[in-house]
Amino acid sequence: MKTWDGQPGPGKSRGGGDALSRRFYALLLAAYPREFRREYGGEMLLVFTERCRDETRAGGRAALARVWGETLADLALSAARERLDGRGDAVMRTLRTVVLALLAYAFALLVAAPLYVRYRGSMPTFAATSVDALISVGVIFNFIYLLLTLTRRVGRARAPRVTLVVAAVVVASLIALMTASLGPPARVNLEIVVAHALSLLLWFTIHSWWVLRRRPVEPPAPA
Amino acid sequence: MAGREPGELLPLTPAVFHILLALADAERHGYGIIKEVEARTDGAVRLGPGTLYGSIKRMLDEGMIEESDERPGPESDDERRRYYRLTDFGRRVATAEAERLSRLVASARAKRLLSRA
Repeated sequence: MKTWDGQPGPGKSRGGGDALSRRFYALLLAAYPREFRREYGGEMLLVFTERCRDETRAGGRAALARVWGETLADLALSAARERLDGRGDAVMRTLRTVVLALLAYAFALLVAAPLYVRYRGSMPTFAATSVDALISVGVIFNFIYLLLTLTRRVGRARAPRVTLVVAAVVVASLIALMTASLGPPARVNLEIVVAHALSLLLWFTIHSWWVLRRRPVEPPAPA
Repeated sequence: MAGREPGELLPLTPAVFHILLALADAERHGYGIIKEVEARTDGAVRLGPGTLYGSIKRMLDEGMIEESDERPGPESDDERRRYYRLTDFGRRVATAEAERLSRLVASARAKRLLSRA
């Protein structure tokens, strides 16, 4: 069984206020994702126009104002939902990554840093250099990784490799600059280079393992 | 949606359940659904276009409703409208949700939060 309103279509009875509302709502539909707009934008505009027409007939401008109030609230909520639709998991994953990173930085600042400052002097030279490298490379590597993944410049699978290359260039440049700033004879400290190279590899391994661990399992191919 | 159980989709959002109720006895277009919900709830529930079509999109994806090919006569039709109807699966989902709500109401009655009808 099909039901009808038995009322004229929206194009058959439209006052100036309704026409203006219609135009304005058509502009506001841009808040929805393009695909959603293409599929349902026409019908949404039609529904809104019919509602404006009926409410204006029944209650005049006050009723039209109420329709607008309800429609704007509906638009704000539903447009946000459609924009997030299907990306909710991705958003939650990103949020979790950011929170974990912030917690790690907070831990490093509040707990590890004071301990490190206190005991660094009593460490063997290479151990102290290695810890220095681990921290400085860690800050650079994780910052670049976070930047690349948050801006979606590269996919998750490629992010560790791209970060390794970029971080290696940054670290090598910094070592070269610091060596040069010491004045002639400029001689690269091999211990520092080895410690930083090992740190780069360690951070790369940690991130690669993390990506592999979270990769979805492919379903078996049909026989 | 072969092999899917209606219970997997519960609980439904109020908007989805109202749309299922509106389509339980008739095929309707978008504005028809809005009017039916409004009339049935004495104006307490007024679905906006964004909520309505966002829900319709998800319900089509889940197989709860489908578009209808039947159209009224040209005097009362508007070719821009699409009509929707309940699928068998959608009817089972609506029934399952109604039973779930009914059990909740029974619990509320047992706790004397509601008077017995």
